[in-house]
Amino acid sequence: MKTQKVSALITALLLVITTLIGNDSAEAQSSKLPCRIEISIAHISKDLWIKTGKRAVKVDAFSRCHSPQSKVTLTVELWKTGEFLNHFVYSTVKRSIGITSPRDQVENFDTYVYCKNRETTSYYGIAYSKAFIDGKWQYARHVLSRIINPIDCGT
Amino acid sequence: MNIDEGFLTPAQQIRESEVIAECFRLMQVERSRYELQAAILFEKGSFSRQNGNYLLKYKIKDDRFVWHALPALATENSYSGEAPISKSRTEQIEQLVEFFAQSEAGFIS
Repeated sequence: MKTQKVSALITALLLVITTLIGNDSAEAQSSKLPCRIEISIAHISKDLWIKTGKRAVKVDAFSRCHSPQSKVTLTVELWKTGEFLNHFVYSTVKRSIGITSPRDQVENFDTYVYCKNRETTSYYGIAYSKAFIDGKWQYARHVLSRIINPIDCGT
Repeated sequence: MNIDEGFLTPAQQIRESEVIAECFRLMQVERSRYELQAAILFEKGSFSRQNGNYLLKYKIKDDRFVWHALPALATENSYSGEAPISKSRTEQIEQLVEFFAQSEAGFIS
């Protein structure tokens, strides 16, 4: 139990540090970075739960660029914290064909896993992308959910 | 900010419910077919099947199950998914049942 708390604390600290560094970088480079990714907090799909009584943990992400982008690949990973290491749960990749204009976003809302039981588990998401912009490949750095969310959902 | 908040529009939330509910339905209704598919995947390491407009390819790659959904039309998006392989064979079969259902249930975005 104690080690679980320590593990959760270390993970939380790492996330906070990553987020702080990310925020600094994002502010400093926002005018330079061609693309921006946003990822949600891991959550239970509420609409599904209300309508069917079924539960699934889910994380969503989208990418938006200042310039027209093509061949966009948006990857979303779902992770859960563990006693010593965090565990990869599931990931999906959406490969968008054609050209996406600056006012549009490429979305990946398909990363979900069925809850097997009600065991409280802490989840977070990671998203990253690549796209062909202005004649070259651009890689968006990994973005983490801003909160590790404990959910009554064992997977 | 609501901790449950995602990025979906109301229309997308409806689509989300439909797709995940379909996934649950497939896990129950198509279970015997999925168990057969799991046996083929364990034996051969890969297999594929047509599902509507998408060719679904499954394979075991290192320590992960992987699926790819490749559209028949060049104008459609393609998708893929990966999950770490569980330890016991019973867990692996349960995992593949969900894995197959997810790839066949359709896409929210």
